[in-house]
Amino acid sequence: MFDEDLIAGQRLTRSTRGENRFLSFKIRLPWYRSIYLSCFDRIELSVNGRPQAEENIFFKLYGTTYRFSELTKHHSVLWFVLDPAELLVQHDSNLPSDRCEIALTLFFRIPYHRHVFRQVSTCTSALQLEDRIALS
Amino acid sequence: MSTTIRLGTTTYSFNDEYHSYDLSLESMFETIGSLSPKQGLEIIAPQCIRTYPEVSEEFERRFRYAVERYDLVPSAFGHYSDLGRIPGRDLSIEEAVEFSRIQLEGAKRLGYSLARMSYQSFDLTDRREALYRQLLPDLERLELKLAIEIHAPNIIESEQQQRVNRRRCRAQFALCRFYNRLRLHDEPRLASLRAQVSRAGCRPSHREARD
Repeated sequence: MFDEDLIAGQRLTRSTRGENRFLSFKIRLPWYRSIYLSCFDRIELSVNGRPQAEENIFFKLYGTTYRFSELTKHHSVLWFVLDPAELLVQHDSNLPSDRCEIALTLFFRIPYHRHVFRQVSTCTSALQLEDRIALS
Repeated sequence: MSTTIRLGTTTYSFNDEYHSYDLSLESMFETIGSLSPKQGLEIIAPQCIRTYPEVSEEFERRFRYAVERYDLVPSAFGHYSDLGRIPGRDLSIEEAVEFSRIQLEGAKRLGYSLARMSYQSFDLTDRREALYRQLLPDLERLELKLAIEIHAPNIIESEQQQRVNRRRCRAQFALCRFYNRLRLHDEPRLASLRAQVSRAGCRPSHREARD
């Protein structure tokens, strides 16, 4: 549902935080209703065809950044269906200066099913790369 | 038993427009109100309410304003049990009751007298511990009824639904049918619904189920 909206916007932001370099982009919840972060338990992300390790992926919502692999702990944090979130991925490779192809698959549990039943949403998009110098 | 059907619309019907920001919450209510006078309104709580499962005072104010302005009738509150919210286990019955209670109290404040409950919450094999039974004191206190959702691929005449009908207990329970994308003037589907209602001998509409 709403797979085409999973990657929101056209921009891929490159930034540094300390010694680490990150890429970030906006995502939308590709479903009809809000759900808890605890429902997100798997992600597949590639940048220009290179798969990214899940431990290098972070999820930012309402000003708080979470390791994606730890989202399942947050069963009281609701991602409201209309609000964009941000995905960040730590990376070390050199990137071309203009556009990158992002392929994202998000897996999430349907909270009202008593047994595991997942939604899978996939989106691929070519994003315009830009730099953000100042980061807190 | 009357089989008069009064129409209502669920906000689920406007998924595409709402998700794409083409319709705001209020403009969705306005569109629903434009379908007919006294159009029934089902809201999907976690779709519409930012503070779900709680109903904030701000939402209550906006909702009541829209109901008045667009001539809407609150017909069903789209309640969710979210029993699988915590990975690896179902909510305990105490957790589930509390989660539902918060929503039902919100539904009451919005002017609803009926809340929809997913068939997932209606345990047909062991109803002694079913969530709805635990909620009966709250339902009586709040003067609310629960309606059990008939979800695709089931229909009113399905075997599952007939079991529900046969076991329907006390006045708190009503049965209603939700059409996700049924719009006004969809006569073939309405005719089909009327026929199903008649054969099943159940109460057909949100409004009737409230009475």
